[in-house]
Amino acid sequence: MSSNNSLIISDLLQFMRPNLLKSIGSLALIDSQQIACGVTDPEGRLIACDNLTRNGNLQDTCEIIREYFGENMHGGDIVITNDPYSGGTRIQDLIGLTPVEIPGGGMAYILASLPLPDLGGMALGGNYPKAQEIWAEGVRVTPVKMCRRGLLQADALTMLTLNSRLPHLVENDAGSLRSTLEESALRLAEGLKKFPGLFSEFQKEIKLKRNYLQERIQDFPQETLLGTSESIHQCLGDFDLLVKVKLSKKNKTLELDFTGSSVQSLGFINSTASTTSSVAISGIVHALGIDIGSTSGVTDCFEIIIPENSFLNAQLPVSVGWSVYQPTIGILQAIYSALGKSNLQYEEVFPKPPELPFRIKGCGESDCTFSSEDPTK
Amino acid sequence: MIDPITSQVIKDSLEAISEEMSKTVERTAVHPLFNEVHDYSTGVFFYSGSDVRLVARATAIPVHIFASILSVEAMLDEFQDDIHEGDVVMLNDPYYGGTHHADWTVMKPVFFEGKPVLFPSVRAHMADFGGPVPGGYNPEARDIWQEALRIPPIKVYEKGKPRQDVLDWILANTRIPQVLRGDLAAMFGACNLAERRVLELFAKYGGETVNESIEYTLDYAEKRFRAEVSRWPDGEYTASSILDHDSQGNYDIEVRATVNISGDDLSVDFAGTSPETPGFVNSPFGNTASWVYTALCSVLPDDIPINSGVFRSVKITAPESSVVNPLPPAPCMFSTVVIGGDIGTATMKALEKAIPDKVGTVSLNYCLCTTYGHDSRYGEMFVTIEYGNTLVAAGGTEGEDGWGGWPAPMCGLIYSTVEMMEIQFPFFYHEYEYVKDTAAAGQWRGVPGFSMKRESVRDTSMINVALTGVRNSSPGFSGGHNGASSRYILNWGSPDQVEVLESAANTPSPPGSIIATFKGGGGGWGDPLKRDPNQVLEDVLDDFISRENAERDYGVVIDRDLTIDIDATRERRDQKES
Repeated sequence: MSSNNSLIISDLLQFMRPNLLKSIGSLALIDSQQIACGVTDPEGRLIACDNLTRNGNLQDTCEIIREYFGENMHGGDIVITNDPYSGGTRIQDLIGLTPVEIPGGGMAYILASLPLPDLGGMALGGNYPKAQEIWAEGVRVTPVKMCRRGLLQADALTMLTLNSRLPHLVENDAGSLRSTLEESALRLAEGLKKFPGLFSEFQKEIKLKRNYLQERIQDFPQETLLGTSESIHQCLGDFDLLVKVKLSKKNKTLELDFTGSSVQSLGFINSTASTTSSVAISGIVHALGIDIGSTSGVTDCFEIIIPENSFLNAQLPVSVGWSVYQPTIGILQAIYSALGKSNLQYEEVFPKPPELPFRIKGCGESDCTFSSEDPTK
Repeated sequence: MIDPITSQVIKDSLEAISEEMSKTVERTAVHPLFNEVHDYSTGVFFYSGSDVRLVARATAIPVHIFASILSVEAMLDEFQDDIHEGDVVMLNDPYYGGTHHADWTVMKPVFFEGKPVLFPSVRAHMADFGGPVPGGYNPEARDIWQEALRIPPIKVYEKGKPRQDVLDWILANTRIPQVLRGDLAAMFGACNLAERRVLELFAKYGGETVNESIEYTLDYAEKRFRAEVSRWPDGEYTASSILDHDSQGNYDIEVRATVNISGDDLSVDFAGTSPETPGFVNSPFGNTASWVYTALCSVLPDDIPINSGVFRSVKITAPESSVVNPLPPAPCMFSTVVIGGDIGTATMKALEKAIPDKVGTVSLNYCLCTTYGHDSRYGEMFVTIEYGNTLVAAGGTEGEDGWGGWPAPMCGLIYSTVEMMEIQFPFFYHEYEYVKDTAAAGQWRGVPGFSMKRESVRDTSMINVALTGVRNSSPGFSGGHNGASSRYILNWGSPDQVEVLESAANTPSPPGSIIATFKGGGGGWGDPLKRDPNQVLEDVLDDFISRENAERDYGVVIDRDLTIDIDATRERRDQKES
């Protein structure tokens, strides 16, 4: 393992997260757990990410942006998206990407995801349990260039802020995202000057991580482990939701099969395949208690099956606003419930739902997680 | 100094360009709101270097095209010197040059000697643009973000190249992107065509001549307008129009207009109007001004050109934070018809006191019904506005009965045929016709009320309704009677039948269920006892009114053999007059 390579990238991530945390204005309103930063290699494969629960989202967003813009990506560009159906998690999470030109050809990509306090829709903050479509949660921002070759696209930024009830916060946070990505790109470019072989060396590191995780997977029992979550309340419809998972060791990979999980929720308790995969992988890695980082080397060790009609693989235009809390917690419950049937030593880690400074009105039923007061009034 | 003949030729050329734009949109757009209903308008705007003026328009919806002046201004304010040949700018934001979210404006600057001078523009009602409710009319909205996507002035083409990422972003916020992609292409195509035609005009006459001609035309319109106003009696005339509700529990919202005529000056002041409301009826200033212009243009002689020469002669004052000049983020999706119609009506009722022989119904007392769902025949989502329950609204004016469907200011719209609606959407129409004995009486009567019964077939549709004109129907003028009150019934004829009194959101209409609507027409004009008895007889023969109604409202006695009893009529009318 090349320590220089590793240090350059880890320094980069250690610069990005604190920089975002220091500079975004909406942290008082939202959940800092939702920040994620990552770097890819020239193939767009994530080589580092500081938030394992967002690994798949950053990876998928990068792939979709690369495919969408093709050759039309240049140094200084900053692409933003919040679209759950373009790799993101939910409307509130804005992901930014900037390419970094590699001496000798090709581009690496730096990504950062941060939560926005509001982007329109029916409820302040975007959490609207009765949203039956994503447009009721807020405005979809499919991949769009906020900067082109370093030049801010002011009209695009205006459109972003105009669609928020808290435009000054969104403008500030978009600016923070931009400056963090720009500074990170400069730092990575400097690193690449010093260590032109950085990415090819990194492939070795990814392989090492993959091998290590594969070894740990061999500790899993041969039999299939079945897990089920507790019932998940949804404010719409007359049925509760359940996550079901089957863990099976397949050669060197671990298969997580979510077949049998509930169908799509009518409301906002759905997650996209990107989010489900990220959460599931992070659950296993956390459970194993290994500090392996978050790279494509990790994701390569998993096969994840999520039926298209389930609430864990939401299809446009289904709403997904609560996905980072539920079904996330349900996914983890199901995984830990399965692991509990093995003799593996593991620890449980659940995300903490945010204490939001505003109310989220639910259905008012006795088992409803949300308030009975209407925040829109 | 330009000669009047050349000026007229250039003026007509610009209007021909607007008309050609309109035809382009009609022939190439996708949604029936365009190619059937014509819910769009085209025009050419002129930037003098200091202000923006409407110089030509095709047959258009006034509330579209008059308000587009502010759209061009917003574009110029936003981009200033950063406007280039080949740019196309779009917007929809009610507080950023628009009126309501549904109306998207596309503008293309045309350059002369390096400066943007003329701006062909299309404003159109798009079928869907995100937000919590398909179609955008959300009776539950309490702020503008609960309505739909807000688009500030944004470049969708830059120096001739599409900004595909921006376009795709916008289209990601509609439920029917494939439809809107086609509709936008039609709007872009119309602007491109207009650019070519304007450049041909510049080439033929020279830019200076075209500009001079435009100034001449505007001055001429102003001169004619002022000459007309100077014939009206000086004075201050105040009147109100009352809107039933705002869908948020607020009732009888007042628009108060004071028209001041002094020589050839005319101003309209909305002091005393209700404050902005939490509901979606608030009217941004551009919309308010459009409805004032709409009322005024309705009372002008036909041969006065309608352009900014007229508009710049009218001073409009609307108190900030009132329902006619709200501050963001007040919701405003319904404003183009409600409270817009009340702005027009209040203005018209004030004018009635000065020029009673020229006034008449200008508003719609609109009944909104958007319908959406999945059409299993085509495997696609659909979103559409039902126009059958908006019919009718036309009132009488001196010399004319209320005719057809909507009043003249809205006659740019063409109603979809029921056959086309049934082909395009999962509906079946059982009834679509005038209702006897519902026309507002007057020397010139209003149009009879209109009944529609529409069944959902094959698929469940979802319906949003906002009904007005129930507590306050369309007023009569100069002694004419008021129009009838409107009604809207869900699940008509079934045990689940329910009458909508104000509004309903996301209401399912399963296959087999029927919505039954009745829309009251516009008011009558003049004393019904002065109506020519022969016209009353014609109405009886046409089955618009019964013999009993002819006697009750008009004092015209018609025998069983359907002839007028002249003596009995004279006697009956004398009795009624006394």
